[in-house]
Order: sequence, then C-alpha cells, then structure tokens
Amino acid sequence: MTDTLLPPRLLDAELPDIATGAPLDEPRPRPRRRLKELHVHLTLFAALIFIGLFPSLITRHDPFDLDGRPFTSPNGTYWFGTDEIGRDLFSRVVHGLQISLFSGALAVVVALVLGSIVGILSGLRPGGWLDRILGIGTEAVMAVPSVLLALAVITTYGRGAYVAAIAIGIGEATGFARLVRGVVIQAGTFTFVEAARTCGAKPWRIVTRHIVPNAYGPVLAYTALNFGLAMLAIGSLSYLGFGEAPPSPEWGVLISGGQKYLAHAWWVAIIPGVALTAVVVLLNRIAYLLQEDH
Amino acid sequence: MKRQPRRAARAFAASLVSATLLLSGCAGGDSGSGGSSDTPVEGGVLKYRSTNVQGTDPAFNTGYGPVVPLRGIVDSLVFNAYDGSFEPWLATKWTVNDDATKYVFTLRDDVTFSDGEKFDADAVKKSFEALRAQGAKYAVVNSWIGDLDKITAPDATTVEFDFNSPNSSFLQAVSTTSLGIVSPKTSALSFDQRQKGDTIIGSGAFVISDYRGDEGYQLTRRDDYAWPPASAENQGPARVEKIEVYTTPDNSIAASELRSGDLDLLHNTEPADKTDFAASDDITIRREPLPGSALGFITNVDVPGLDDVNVRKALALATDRQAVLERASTIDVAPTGVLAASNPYWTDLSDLIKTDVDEATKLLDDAGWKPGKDGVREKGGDRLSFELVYGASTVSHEPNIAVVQAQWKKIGVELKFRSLTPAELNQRLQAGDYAFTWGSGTRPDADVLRSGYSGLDPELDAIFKQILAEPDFDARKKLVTEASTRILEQAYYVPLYDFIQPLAFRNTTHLPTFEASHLPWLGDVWLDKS
Amino acid sequence: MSVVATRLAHAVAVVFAAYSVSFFLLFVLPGDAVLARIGTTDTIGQADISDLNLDALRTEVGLNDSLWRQYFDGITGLLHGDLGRSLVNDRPVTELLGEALPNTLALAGLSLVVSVPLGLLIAVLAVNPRSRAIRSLASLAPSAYVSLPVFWIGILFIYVFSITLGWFPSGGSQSASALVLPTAVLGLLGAAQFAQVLISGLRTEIGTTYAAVTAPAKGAGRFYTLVRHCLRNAAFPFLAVFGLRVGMLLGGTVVIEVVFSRSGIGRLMVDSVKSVDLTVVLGLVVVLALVFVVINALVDIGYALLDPRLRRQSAVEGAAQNQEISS
Repeated sequence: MTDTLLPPRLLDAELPDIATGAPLDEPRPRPRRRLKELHVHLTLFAALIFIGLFPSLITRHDPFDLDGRPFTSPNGTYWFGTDEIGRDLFSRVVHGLQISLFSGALAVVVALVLGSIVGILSGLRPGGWLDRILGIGTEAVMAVPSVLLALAVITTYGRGAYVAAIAIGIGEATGFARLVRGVVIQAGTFTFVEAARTCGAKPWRIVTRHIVPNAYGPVLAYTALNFGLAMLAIGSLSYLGFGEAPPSPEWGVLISGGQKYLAHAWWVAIIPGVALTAVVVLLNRIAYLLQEDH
Repeated sequence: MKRQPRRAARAFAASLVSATLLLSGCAGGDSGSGGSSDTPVEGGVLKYRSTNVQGTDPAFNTGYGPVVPLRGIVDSLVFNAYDGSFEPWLATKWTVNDDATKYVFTLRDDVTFSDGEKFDADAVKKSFEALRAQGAKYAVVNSWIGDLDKITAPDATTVEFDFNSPNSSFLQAVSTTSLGIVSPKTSALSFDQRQKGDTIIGSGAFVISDYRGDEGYQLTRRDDYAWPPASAENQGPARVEKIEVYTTPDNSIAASELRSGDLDLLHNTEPADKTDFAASDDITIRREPLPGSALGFITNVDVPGLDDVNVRKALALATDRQAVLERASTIDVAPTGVLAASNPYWTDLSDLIKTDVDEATKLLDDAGWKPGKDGVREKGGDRLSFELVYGASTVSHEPNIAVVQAQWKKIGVELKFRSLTPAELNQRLQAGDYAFTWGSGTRPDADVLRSGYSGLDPELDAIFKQILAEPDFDARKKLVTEASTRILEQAYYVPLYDFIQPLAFRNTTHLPTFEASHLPWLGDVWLDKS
Repeated sequence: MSVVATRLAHAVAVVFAAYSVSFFLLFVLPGDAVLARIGTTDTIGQADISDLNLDALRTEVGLNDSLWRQYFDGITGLLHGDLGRSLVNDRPVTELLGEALPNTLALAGLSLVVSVPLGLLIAVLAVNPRSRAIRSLASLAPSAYVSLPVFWIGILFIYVFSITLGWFPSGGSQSASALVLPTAVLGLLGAAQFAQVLISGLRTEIGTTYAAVTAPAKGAGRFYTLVRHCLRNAAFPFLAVFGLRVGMLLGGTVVIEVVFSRSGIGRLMVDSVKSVDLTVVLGLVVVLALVFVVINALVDIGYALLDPRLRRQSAVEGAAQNQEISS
C-alpha cells in the first residue's frame, strides 16, 4: 500500500472467476488470431533476451569508451547520439537492456517463489492460525515503505540492480502471495481435490498434481505483468540513486543522469525512457494475451 | 608572484570607484531616469536561487549556496576582504598574541539587532557560547573555533577569546557568516527552534520577512542599518529593497529562468549551462575558482597499493587533466597546486603537477605490479582496484571522474566511484573504509590543508601544528607552501581542477563587492531599473 | 460485534508488525543519524570528521541505548501518542509530518478528482461506442500509459510544458500552478489504472446473459444497460484498485516529489531513510500503516454496501474478492 514504486496490483480485478465459469467477453479476435499475436510478441521478447545476453553483437562501440564528442545528436556513427562525456548512447542503451531485463527477471523469480510458498501455505487451510499469521506478515511487509526495504537490502548486500531486484521482489511477493492464496483456495473447492484429500493424499501431492495445473494460468499472466512493473521499479530506484551507480548503463541511471541536459541534449534522457516503455508495453501485452487466453 | 599585483590593482580600482561614487553623490540613488548601468540604483527585488536554501540558521548552514543570502542577516566581527586582508566591521580593532592563543576584540557601540536589542560584548559571548554548548550539532563551526578555553567580556565593548591550543585561523573563522553574531534571544533558543526558519535575529542589513518552508524565504532590508564593513561602497542601508530566495528544483530549469529574466542570481550552474553562460551577452558567470583547495582525490594511505608513494605518484602522473577539462567542463581551469589559485595562501606549484603516462606505467612496473587477467594490476594478492566515495553534492562532477576512470584503466588501475548518503559516507570516513575521497574545502584559509590532510604523515602534521600557532600572514604562507609541496611530492593528493565558482547572474544585476570567500556583499548589490 | 473486534485486533497487529520490521531494517543501514547531521566533506574536512567524538550527541538522542531499549522506548512512546523528535534536527516528528502532509494531500486529492471521471470516461469509451476505432484506441491507451516509467513521464512533461513552452513551473510545493504538472502525471496514471480495471470488469459484465439478452429484451438501451447494471458489478474490483491507489498516493509518490521538487510524505521518507533518522521513519511507518488499515476497512465496507450478499459470504468468494479474512 505504501508502495512508492510499484503501481497497485490489479490482482483482484484480473482474477478470472474460475468458480463460476470462464468470463465471457465482448466479441474479440478469434482465438487463432490471438494465439498468433501472442506468438509474435513472445518471439520479440525472445529476441530481446538474446540481445540482452549478447549485447556486443549489435553494438559497434564500447559503452564505457569516451570515443565521441559529448552531446552529439543522433547521426550515422552514433545512432542515438552521445552522452555528456562522449559515450555512444546506443550501445549504452543496449547494454542497459541486459541489466534491466535480467534484474527484472530476478525480481519476479524472487517474488514468485516467495509469494508461492506463502500463498500455498496460507491457502491450504484458509482461516487457520498459519493463514492469519502469514496474512498479518504480508500486510506488514506491504505497509513497510519499499524505499526502506530497498535501502536495507542494498546496504546489506551492496549496491546494484540485482540487489535492488531482490528488494523489489520481496515487495512484490506480497501480491503473489495474495494471488496464489486465492487460487489455492478456489482450487481447493474443486471436487477432484476434495476427492484426493479424502483419499488421504498429502498436501504436497495435492499442490503439484492438482492445484498447479489448474492455477498456473493467472499466475503466469501476473508474472508477465509484474516483470514489467519490476523493471520500472528498478529503474525508479536507480533514478532515485539507490540502484546502479554510474557509469553503469542501466536505464534509470541514464535517465537521471541525462535529466540535467534536457534543454541541450534531450536524447540522453528521453531515449532510454522510450526503450524502457517499449519493453514494458511488450510485457504488458503478453500478460494480457496470456490471461485472456486461458 | 602573481598575487601581489592583482591585489594592488584591485584595491586601486576599488578605491577609484568608491571615490567616483562618493563624489557623484549617488548614495541617494537616482529616480525617474532609466538607470544607467554604471550608477547604483535604489530599490528593487533581487531573486536568487540555489539548492537547499530552506535552512536559515547560519551556524548550521555552512555551504556556499545557502550562505549567500544568510550573509545579509548576520554581521561578523571582522570582514575578510577579497584580497585576503581583514577589515573592521562589528569590531573596530583587535589584537592577537604571538602564538595565536588569545584574541581581543574592541567592538562598535552603535549597533543594534533587528529586534531592537543592543549589540555588546555580552551578546557576542552568548552567541559563541550557544554554539559551543551544542557540540557536535554544530560540528563544522565548532571545528573552526577550535579548542576554545573561555570567552570573557570585561566591558561592554571588549571581548576576549582564550584558547587551550593555538588557532591562527580564528580570525578567518570569525569573519564567516556562520560565526556571525546573533541576538541574545536567538542564542537562548534550542537547536530545533533555530532550525525553524524564521527565528534567527541578527544585526544584518536584511531581516527575514517571510519564510515559506521548502520553497525558500524573503529578506527585507533594514532601513536603520548603518554599520557595513569599512570597504563597502555603500555605507548606509542596503540598496535593494527585498531579496527573494528560492530553492532550486533543478539546476537546468533554474538556468533557463536566468536566461528568461525570471531570476537575477543563480548558484550551482550545471557544466553545460556554464559553457553557455560564458558565451552569453545577457549573463555573466564568475570565472574565479572557489578559494579553498583545488578539487581532486585525497588518498587513504593505509590501503594496500596506496601505501607506496610510487603507486600514488603513478596515479597522479596518469591523470591527464587537460583531457578531463576538455571533455567535461570547459571553463574550469587546471590546478596549479593543492590550493585553488584564489586562496590567499596559494603559490604556484604547477611544475609539481605533471602528466606522463609512460613514467606512470614504468613506476608501476618497477614497483612490481603486473597486469592480471582482467587488465587490473596485482601483486601479492592485492589488486589496484580502488573506490572513490563522496556525497551527493559531488554528483555533478561524476562526468569528470568518469574521464579519470577511463584514463586509469589504460594503465591497469581500476577506479570505482559512487555517491553515498551522508551517514554512510561519514561512517566510512571514520572507519577508514575507502581508498579515495573527494577533496573540496572552500575556506579561504590555510586550515583547509590541515582538515584534509592531517593524520597522513607525521612531518606534515608537524607543519600543520606550526601553521596553527603562527598568526603572521607571510610566515603562514611560507609554511603552507612547504606543506603543499610535500603533499604533492608524496602524492597524497591527485589534483584535478580548480572549480569555477558557478555563480551566474544577469548583466542587470551588479555585484561590486566580494568577500575573500567569494560571497557577494549584499549591501552593495544593485539592480538596473527595469 | 466480534467481527469488529477481530478486525481491530488484526489492524493493531499489522501496525505493530510494520513498526517492528521497519525498526530492525533501519538498524541494518550503515551509519546513523548523528553521522548524517554533522555535515560532509564539503563543509568539514575529513580529518575533522575522523576526530569528532559523537558519543555525547548519541547519548542525547538516545542512540547509545541498547537495541531493545530503543525499541521498547519507541513502542511506549507510540502508545502515548508521542512520536518523538527527529534525530537530525531535533524537531518533533508530528510537526514534520504536519508540514509534509498538506502537500501530499493536495496532490492526492487533486489527482483523484482527475482520475476517477477520466478513467470512467475512457472505460465507457472502450466498451460502448459502435465505432471500433474508438473502442480500440480507448482500450489500448491505458495499458500503454501504465507501461511508462513515472519519473520519465514527469521529466518529459517538464521538458515540454515547462522548459519548451514555459506554461507551468517545473517544481515547488506552494504555488497552485506548481500543482498542475504533477497532478497531470498522477491523474493520468490513476485514470489509466481505473480504466483498465473498469474495462476488464465491464467487458465481463457485458458478456453475461443479463446484459446481452435480458435487458435489451426488456427494452433497455445499450448505454442504459451499461450504466445501470454492468457498472455496478464492475465496481467491486474498481473499489479495490481505488483503495490501493489512495493508499499509494498518500503513502509515497516519492518519485513524483523528487522529479518536481515537491515536499511531501514520500520525500520525507526517503530523506529520513537516507539519514537513518529513526524516529521520523518509524513515525511515518506507523501513520502510513494506520492509513493502510483504515483504507482496507473502508473498501470492505464499500463491498458490503454494494452487494448485500457479501455481508454473509463464504470463505471462498470472500478470499477471492476481499483482501481480508472475514470470519
């Protein structure tokens, strides 16, 4: 709630009503077209991951070399221009993709794992003492300002996007915990789960065999959504000065560093923002398609 | 020596101007006509911006930006003129004993605080004692005061300061705004009450008339002000009627306001804007470096690698200062010593500051540091990888540091740099957990050396002790040169550049008089009639 | 009655837990408030910093007490309603909060006044008009906007409307015109989030039998059906998001405050965390946790008011739609 960096989770709004049947929608593109669109987006995303892994393949300059004149506007040699001390902005943005993408992934993985554990434990016996305690804990973590959380994690483990990612992940885990809990509870009402319980199946078996196959849909969509949000949050932290430090080409650092030069060289601050937006839009679209497609 | 002719010329020019003004009888100002740009004009509102101006307690806010307007609300015992000399102000005369342990000031008797209370020796005593009583809450000013034993006020116009150990920098200290005299009522306030924003009462040419929290405040002139420093042009109440002080949300936006005329005076200009202003017809940017130390890296000699003078020397030699200046800041100037060229104690030591990358590489090779797999030199398990730490206000220098980082990379030394919160920075400084720290002190005094470099070298420390005990200007200067030479020869310091004071103002704003600390004397400031 | 008591106990537990978590997190941070307040190497030479004896100051503000002692003193003070004094400038925490709150409230209130009608409008435009083009545009726009980094949009707005066009000031907390740009950024973001949740809800409702078949059969027009029936049901998730949004606006729009140099709760929090100002941070955490808890309660009341069925609900539906455990 006092989450300064993550936009509110739309989790309750987007949870499909499994118990009462799949939501009808107004006439939308037929399933095949949606699947096609999803495939296109996923391919794009895969391409981004590839570039993130091997950024030097598409860049011609080193992101830390001072080989250009400062503040040159985008041209043939420097596709995005140069920054305040003459580094190629294009290669900095591409190398920044690596950091943003993979730190975002780390945040989401942390959130997913932590949140799922808490959610499953709470959902197995809703209303029980474990559920209550975990509930209070979750809300308490939500109430703790994420800036404080981030700073504490960062100072314990050092600065950097990946450390910030852990802090963001812990904050986001609360949303996953709620989602997974709700999903587990709903799945628990299914007849076959009741049957499995009656047969004496252990909770772990019930989870893996019955709950997960039915629940991964909304969780997957939520993961995609939070991936984008995590990238934005990590960028925000770096912008505020808590994430990566210069001369790292992380996008939040680029934007905060370029803010001073808006009047002279708008591209230094604006272009990395466009890049970040583009990736997050892609992720959000994937999330939307995954969710409705279930 | 370059300093003397400049000083003489300036003094001559100043007296010429004062004589002309006095003769033309412009103390009353002119009215009606459009105000030529040579004759001072009465009235007007000066608009000033800097970062972080919400604090109005001069004793707590010691940075240049906040102090520019605060200079107007409190007066000091003496005035430290631009040429470095000390002039009477609230004190008409003073004596210092031979080893700088006793200072006696004789005060004016016609001064009042803005709330009507009389200024006297007792008020001075209370003003200083209030600072001592708070200890580390006023860490900076107390370090300037030093090891004070007691203050006595034998009569209403005499005040004596007795020290346990010599402090030859005390005269400069009392000339600062932060040690300006506040009224007894203000001295009696608690620390948090003084931070409130509208509670400081002084004897200055201006009073705080409106406090707007984070946005800043407004100063209004005192019409009964009659005790400016001896060399001020204007010996009566201030020329401008009001001063509006604003916090800057963003330096580049403030710069555009300066261009458009919504602002008269701006502190803290960004490098890109500095270059712009230097070429502008409407705006002047001062080209004098801040009078403290040159900016650069102070080394921690306890770190493996930096404990070897040859390694330190190599780092200093590997730094190409011209390249830094070309790439990052086009109007800062190359350093010529440990002190900035505008510090009164400066001497030209530029032949000790060289760039020679080959020599640097040779020194490192000879010392046994061989490049490792990742290019960073190592020896016996240690790597030449160092971290530079500094606070948030140094962030605008990061592009320049990045240039040095690239230069050192070429000789196999890794430099990392980051800004820290004040709490973390001070903790690491106290613990010695750093390789380099950013050197920047702005006192126009010799003491800026001691506060930066003591504890590194017993020989240096001995010189510092001598400086503190030596009240004579020329003798101090000789000692300072000795100390600076040793600092450079031992490479305790890697100087980068003299930092041009980023004070910019429109040509319709006139700042005739400056202190040695480069603060404008607000009583003389005037604006063209618009 | 026991429902209220349980909720109350739950609320107190949350506030207490948040306080404790924050307290121990603060002790992980490097340095302390005393180190933060003495100045930095710009103003005080590092040799002087190394020589300073800060113990007297630490004892005065209570930092030399043991961890547990400080913890219990804090809790006791809280129970008396005393939030203590800032460790950095000695001012009472309540005073600092009082200064920061109005700015945050103004921005929050104003941006909500913008977001709710705007979000509603966009949502209606996304589902009602016959033109496919309008519907597509109105449904894509919100999801695009929420993908934007907030700090970047703020910078962009400053660049366009302040630097280039000169229409509005780029920052500040006191003038009314300084509110325009930050309100625009936040208001649009809120509108986008509200629009997203409303669109999703409305689409669901429109697909139901009632809206698609029954109401038109009774002679109801398209728009009428939308407003009278679909909107009411779509209001549930909207309410949840609305509550979250209010909490976020009050609790910390720190990025907006930094970009536009406004003073407010978010900035106060960040600055206090940076200087390890324990009392201020903890005071803020307690206040914000209380706000959080109150908003949650109000949202639940809203749910119950909207749908009488929910007043007696099974654990399943309650868990899926509510955020609290109802007994």
